[in-house]
Amino acid sequence: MHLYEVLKRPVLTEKSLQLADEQNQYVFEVDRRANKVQVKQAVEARFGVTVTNVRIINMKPKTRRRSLRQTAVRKTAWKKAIVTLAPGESIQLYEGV
Amino acid sequence: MSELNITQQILEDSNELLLKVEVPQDRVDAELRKLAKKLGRKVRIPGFRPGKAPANIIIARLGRDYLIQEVAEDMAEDVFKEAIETIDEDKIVPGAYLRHIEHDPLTYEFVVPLKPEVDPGDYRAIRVPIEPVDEADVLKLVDEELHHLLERNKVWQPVERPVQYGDLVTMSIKMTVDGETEIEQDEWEFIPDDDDPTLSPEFDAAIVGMKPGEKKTFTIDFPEDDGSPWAGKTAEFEVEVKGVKAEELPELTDELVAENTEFETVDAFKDAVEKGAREHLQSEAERKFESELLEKLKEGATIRYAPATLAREIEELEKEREDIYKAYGFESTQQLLDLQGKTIEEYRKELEPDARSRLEERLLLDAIAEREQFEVSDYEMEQYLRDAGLEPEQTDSLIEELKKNEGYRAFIRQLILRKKAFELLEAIAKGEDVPEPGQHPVMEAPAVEEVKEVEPEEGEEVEEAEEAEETEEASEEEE
Repeated sequence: MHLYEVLKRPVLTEKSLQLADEQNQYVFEVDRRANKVQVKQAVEARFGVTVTNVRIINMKPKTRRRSLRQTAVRKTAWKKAIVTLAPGESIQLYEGV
Repeated sequence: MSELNITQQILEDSNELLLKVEVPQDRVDAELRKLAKKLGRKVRIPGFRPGKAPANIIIARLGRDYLIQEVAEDMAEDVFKEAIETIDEDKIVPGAYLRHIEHDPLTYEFVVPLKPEVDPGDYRAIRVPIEPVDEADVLKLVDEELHHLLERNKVWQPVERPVQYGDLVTMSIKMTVDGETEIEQDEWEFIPDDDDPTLSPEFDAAIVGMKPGEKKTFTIDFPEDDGSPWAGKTAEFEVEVKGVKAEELPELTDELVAENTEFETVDAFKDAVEKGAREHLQSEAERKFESELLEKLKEGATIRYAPATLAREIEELEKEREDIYKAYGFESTQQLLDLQGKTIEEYRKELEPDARSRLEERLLLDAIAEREQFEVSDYEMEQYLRDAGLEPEQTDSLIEELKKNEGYRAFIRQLILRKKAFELLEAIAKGEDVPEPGQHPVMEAPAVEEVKEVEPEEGEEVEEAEEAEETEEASEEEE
């Protein structure tokens, strides 16, 4: 797996932004095959920062039923990585104001 | 916050000022964040409760280009107000508009109409010949008027000659079509007319030339497209002219004048008509003089004004005309235009020449008044209102208004200045001697004779002294 295939997208939610603001931790969806070392290398290469810690969480698949037709909507399992950066460093997830 | 970057460019052709205003990036960003925050309360973004998503997420989500458009529209008014403050207020007139918006960097192009530029030229060299009333024209008008009076009183007089067009013919007539009698009369009166024939042009032509007592039988073929009940048929006529009368003008006598006019004698009527004719020709000559004068003034002048200035004048004229239409019972100009099948744009186009001419005349008179340094006194303003021919109460209330309303004062002052400028132009054009600029007299209220106030104490003493003298005189007489 190439280094650039590891990071799939930043997870942008209220909670993830709060983590970034308060604890300098950034949340990404990563490839399900990726390990902590690969995530560390990928983030450092992609954003030019120093990663001090990586935590990986395997998210379970979720099924939601729509009430009217009772059709099942399945969200597949995915892997989440919470990356802690060295103090004073940050990632600009979106350009702009 | 950073200052706006403003550049000015004068558009010579249209007498407008182009204001290019570039808004600094930090101000645009601040506005973007403000707008994003506002929209964030309405837009649902996954992972965030409403109103909790940060501005940059919302901007990325909704698209920067879209938000910039919104911001540009929202900011336009404030940017204009800020930019216009950098321009000298005396140089511009209302009617500015936004011509173009550039989004990156955010730049506005405002077009601001400039105050009209007027150079009246060498108006002091204008000469217009005033043509004296030609006595021959007066006499011609008098003759016409007298002829009208006679025309109104003309009478039919029997004549012993062949019928001519315009005569009143009395005749017997029998008209037969397909064996059926259509007209049969013994005393039929008609006037042969070559412009507006009675039955057909051929019929009138057949009667013309017949002598009183003459009989005639003839046929006429009515054409297919005749429009009469006899179209396409042949009619037989048997006619006999019984009498012919021609129009005769009566003699101009005192009786005729007295019956038809407010005057008793021919001479009195003639005098009145002559006086009226002379006045009419006099005012015609004055109108011609004024219009030639204004034409020459415009020829020698240079006037530049913005399209917005003309548009305002058209609007003004439109309102004035609407008041007139309303006085005639129309609800609005639109109602009249609907009847005429005209659009408001066509109507405004029609008003343009009048508005243009009025605007240019006013601008020129204002420029001349300024150059001549005319002054207007309070007395002149009051006098102007007194001469307006209003009811005394109305005049008094306007004079009161003049004293307390600065705007109304300025308006009346401007009207008087224009009047003075035009009167000066008239005098110049007639070749009269006029004062130099800045030397024009100003009318002041006539001085009221001062009433000597006599102090009561002194008065008493004087009276006493007089009384004493009188008593002395009386005692002497007694002696």
